[in-house]
Amino acid sequence: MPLYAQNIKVSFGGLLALQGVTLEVKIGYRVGLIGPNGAGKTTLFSVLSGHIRPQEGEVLLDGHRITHLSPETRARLGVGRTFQIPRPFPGLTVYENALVFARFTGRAPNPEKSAQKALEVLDLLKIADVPVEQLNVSQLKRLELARALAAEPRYLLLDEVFAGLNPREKAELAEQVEILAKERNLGLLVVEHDLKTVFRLTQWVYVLSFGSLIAEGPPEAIAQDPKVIEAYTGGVI
Amino acid sequence: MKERLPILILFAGLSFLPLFLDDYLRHLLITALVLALLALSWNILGGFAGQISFGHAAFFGLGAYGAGILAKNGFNPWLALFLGSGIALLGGAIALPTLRLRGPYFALAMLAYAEVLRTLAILAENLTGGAAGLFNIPALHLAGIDLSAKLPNFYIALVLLVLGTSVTFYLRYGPLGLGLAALHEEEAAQAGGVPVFRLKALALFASAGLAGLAGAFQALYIRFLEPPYAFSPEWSIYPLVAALLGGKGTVVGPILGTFGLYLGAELVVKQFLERGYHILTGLLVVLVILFLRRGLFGFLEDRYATLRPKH
Repeated sequence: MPLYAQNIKVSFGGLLALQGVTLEVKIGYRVGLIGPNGAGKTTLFSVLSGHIRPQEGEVLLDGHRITHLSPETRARLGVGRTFQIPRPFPGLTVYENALVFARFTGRAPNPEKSAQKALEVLDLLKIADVPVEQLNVSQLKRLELARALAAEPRYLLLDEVFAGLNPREKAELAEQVEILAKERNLGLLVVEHDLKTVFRLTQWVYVLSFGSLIAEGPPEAIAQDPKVIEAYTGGVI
Repeated sequence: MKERLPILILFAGLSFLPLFLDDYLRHLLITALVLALLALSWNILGGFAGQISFGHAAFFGLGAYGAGILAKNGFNPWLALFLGSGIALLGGAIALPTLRLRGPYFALAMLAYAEVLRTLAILAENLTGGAAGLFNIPALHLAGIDLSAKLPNFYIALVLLVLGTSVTFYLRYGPLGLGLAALHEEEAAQAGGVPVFRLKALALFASAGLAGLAGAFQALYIRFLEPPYAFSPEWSIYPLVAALLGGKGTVVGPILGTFGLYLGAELVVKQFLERGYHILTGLLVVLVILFLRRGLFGFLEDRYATLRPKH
């Protein structure tokens, strides 16, 4: 059963951020969400995680309506997310950061073990006892991912988790994410600027432009779609 | 837990200290204990839960008037002490809606709350004695023994501080401690399943109750109250500065901060600068914010990393 956003409309004051957007993430599938700056990617992402309530439309999880549920409750139901700009909990160590997610979502049978495992997978175990204030960008990005994984989610929403990394780090992390998604049979939604990474990582891609979906399909088809090329180039090419 | 040892040493030292002091110094220590309890309470909300309050005088004053009025109306002063704390805790419920506010708005709402209560205390003359004040509040006593002298009051205040420290310790290092710390990043905390509003409310009630306990004790100790005193902005500013100085987010930091700030001002600074010594307090805050972001305890901890426990 999928995580499903149906006919979503969101506006901020007079600005229409999303209009009639429908998107589906199935368990075991890796889905990409792309679009130029200001297309509404992060807004849609936050609608799914519960941080923004849509004016119209519904969010369904396993066929149940969750539109009215808080982000906390959605996290407990297995919808995990990361933040575009890493938001570690200050004053806590790397391990404690992961433990918060593992403990409070109540999904992990053994939170300490889940936190530790998530850090191990993302190569953060060596710095488990380091305060998060001392982490570099790459480590912070991986901690975002590790925290979300520590909660043992069924769906994982990644908001530009590759941004700010150098090409080598990006390729490594993308590979790790792919392995993790397969191993844990996650429903993965990747919001990303870097099209190459999205096309390599995902099996299905949605394209947003000015708050509306303009295309969806397998990555190879999306890469050739004239509407997508126009949205990205502004019709210059 | 890295704070256990410093706390034990501190309380062990404090239990013997007044035996060697005169009544004036005992009085200073009692006031320091009351302020330390207030700083602990502020720190639960401001340091642990990240909700900076500019209005803890509200809870201090509620506790003080609660205990004072009840004791004057025939309640056993011990009962009045804890009921006063309970009244402040209930006062926390009125502040609940302000938890929806973020950043400076919460701080300012709390400031306004304290001012409203101060005005109400002046207006409700029949209950509070109004601007003239509440006189002759009965002192604490035990089995017919009057405890109004400095020494017994010192030990009562010390026991209350130990109680407050235990509550604070549980909140910081107990099962909910991590959740409280996560409130500094609210959206991320939500994504981690942390029940944000419930934890903020818990921090608010615990904080209000302890601030009220400090106020209630103060009322029964000095046995006189007037609105500008009970709701004085000093009860809001002092704990904030002490927690920043000592290290907000730690248990022992605000206690150390209070002792440093209050006793430093009373015993040292006032020797040189009888008036206007608050300027130095302000300067100190600026310096702490600039150079000691984790406060005194954080600084000491970094210097003596051996105090750190292994996981």
